[in-house]
Amino acid sequence: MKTVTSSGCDRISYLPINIIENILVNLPIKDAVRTSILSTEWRYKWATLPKIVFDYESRIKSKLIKIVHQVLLIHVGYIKKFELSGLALRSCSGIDKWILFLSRNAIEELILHIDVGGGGGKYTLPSSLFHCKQLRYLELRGCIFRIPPTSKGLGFNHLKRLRLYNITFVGSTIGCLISSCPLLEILELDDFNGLTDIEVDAPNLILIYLCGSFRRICFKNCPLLVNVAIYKCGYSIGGSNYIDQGRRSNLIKALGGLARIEELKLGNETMKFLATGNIPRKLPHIYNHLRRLYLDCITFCNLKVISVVFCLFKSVPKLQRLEISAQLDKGAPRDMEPVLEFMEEQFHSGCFLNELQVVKMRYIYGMRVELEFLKLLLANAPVLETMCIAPESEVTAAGSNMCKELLRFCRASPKAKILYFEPYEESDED
Amino acid sequence: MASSSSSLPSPSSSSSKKFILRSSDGKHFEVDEAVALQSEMIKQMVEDGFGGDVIPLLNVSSIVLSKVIDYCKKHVELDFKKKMDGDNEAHEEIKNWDSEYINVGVDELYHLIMAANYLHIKGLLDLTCQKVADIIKGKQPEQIRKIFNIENDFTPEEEQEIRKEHSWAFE
Repeated sequence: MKTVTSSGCDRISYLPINIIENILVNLPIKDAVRTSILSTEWRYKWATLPKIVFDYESRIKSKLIKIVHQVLLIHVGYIKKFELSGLALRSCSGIDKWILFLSRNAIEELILHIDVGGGGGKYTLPSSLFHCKQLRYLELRGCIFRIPPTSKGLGFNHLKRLRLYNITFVGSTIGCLISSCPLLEILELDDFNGLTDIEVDAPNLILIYLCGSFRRICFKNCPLLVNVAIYKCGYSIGGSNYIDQGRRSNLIKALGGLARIEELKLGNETMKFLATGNIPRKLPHIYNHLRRLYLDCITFCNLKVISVVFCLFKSVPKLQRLEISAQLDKGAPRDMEPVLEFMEEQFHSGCFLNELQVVKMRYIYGMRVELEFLKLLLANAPVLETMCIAPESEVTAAGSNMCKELLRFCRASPKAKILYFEPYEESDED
Repeated sequence: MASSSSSLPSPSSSSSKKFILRSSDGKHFEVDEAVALQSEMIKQMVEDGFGGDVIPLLNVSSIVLSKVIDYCKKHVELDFKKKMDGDNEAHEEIKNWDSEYINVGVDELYHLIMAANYLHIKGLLDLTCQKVADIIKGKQPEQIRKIFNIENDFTPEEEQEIRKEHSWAFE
């Protein structure tokens, strides 16, 4: 590579300030700070960096807390972005002060992954976090998040995206935090605990991903919400997992406020949760925008879960894509007759899923309930194009039998093709 | 999408509007409107009514301008392709083309930075700045000074002081 200048002029020191900044933000923090030794011109150029990132790439092995401290102390001007991720901390001392400092420097993007080694307790976020009023993006991991009981003084008025991983909430309800972010578009809560109630009131929310334990959930005032994923975990604090939300079924209460939804992802625990209370034959609301439905780890021998599946089917007339992965429920009753009877009933209840084009079934065991389910889909999806089947790895031997069965089923769609994949074989079919 | 690359309609058809750019050393370059408008500065000039005959670019020499036009032409083409073929494929092609394009000496890199900044072509400015950062990354101060011709005006004592101040960065 040709790099040495031929003209003999200094080629970067006197570039306009915006260009110097553009160069420095593309450097790992270590390299940016090292430019201070190039010449007197360069001594404090890095100190006005608007983005400070301590990540895995910054290759800092020790004294991280002290280094961050020092960098913030020397820094001049606004800090639009601060990131601390992918690095192990010895302790959490000082983080409170950084957050306070950043809140005073118009921070817009804050990423904090607190990974304290050596079995130390989780870090509790300070209330000064709520002073970061300019935040647009907030990503936290591995902390204790204390939510104030009222929305007084809360209010991230500019926040568009909130990602929280492995967070222990204190305060049981997250409703007032969500409703205090009026511009919020994306909300991801992964691996959380400590919440009982999740009330989502977010007029600009487009996507929500939830994975954790909770006891009640409801959506209200979410007119733009199109993409919803709810994965409930078994563990829940205090009492039963599947508490009855009053006289109405959980299903109606939880999904009632999702009028515009286009994509829905649910896990088996969520299905069980939704199955608590009376399961209606169909939902009071028809989800005319819902095109893609993903159901994970479905236990086919659980009548309640299957009832929820069909209740959903009847309420999503425009469904185009259905993906289901199956799971064996060890504690399920041996007698599958009730489920088979239920499906038989559904079979005769007429044509639904009129726009279904693609079905993907993963990890099935070839049980009769599963085959009946597939039979039902094939018979009731008149425009089906592809059905992909990928069995669980243990059932390879039974695979050919399953294929034979499948080929015998009537297909409502003349152009439906069935693709059978070996276990764990990746399907490239769209 | 049913379209082979051979039957792709060209983004620069002969009927599209042309602009004439004049470099600082008086050379003329005829370019398609879409190519010229990659520059926010030219776009602004056109909006202000300067697009009539010749657009004078006082700070860009013909050698640099021709290289800048190469960039703009290719990116108009690739943007078009991105629309036709989808993001992923085009993204890879843009990356490869850019990295080949920017493999230049420091003097040329400097002139491209200044031109991209003057003409306000964000993509080219980001690409050139990233290139400078890539050159600096992981190198010793002495190497960086040599590459960019930076004069070290610190006394050994001062240098020692800075090393001490940021000892973590020099480990």
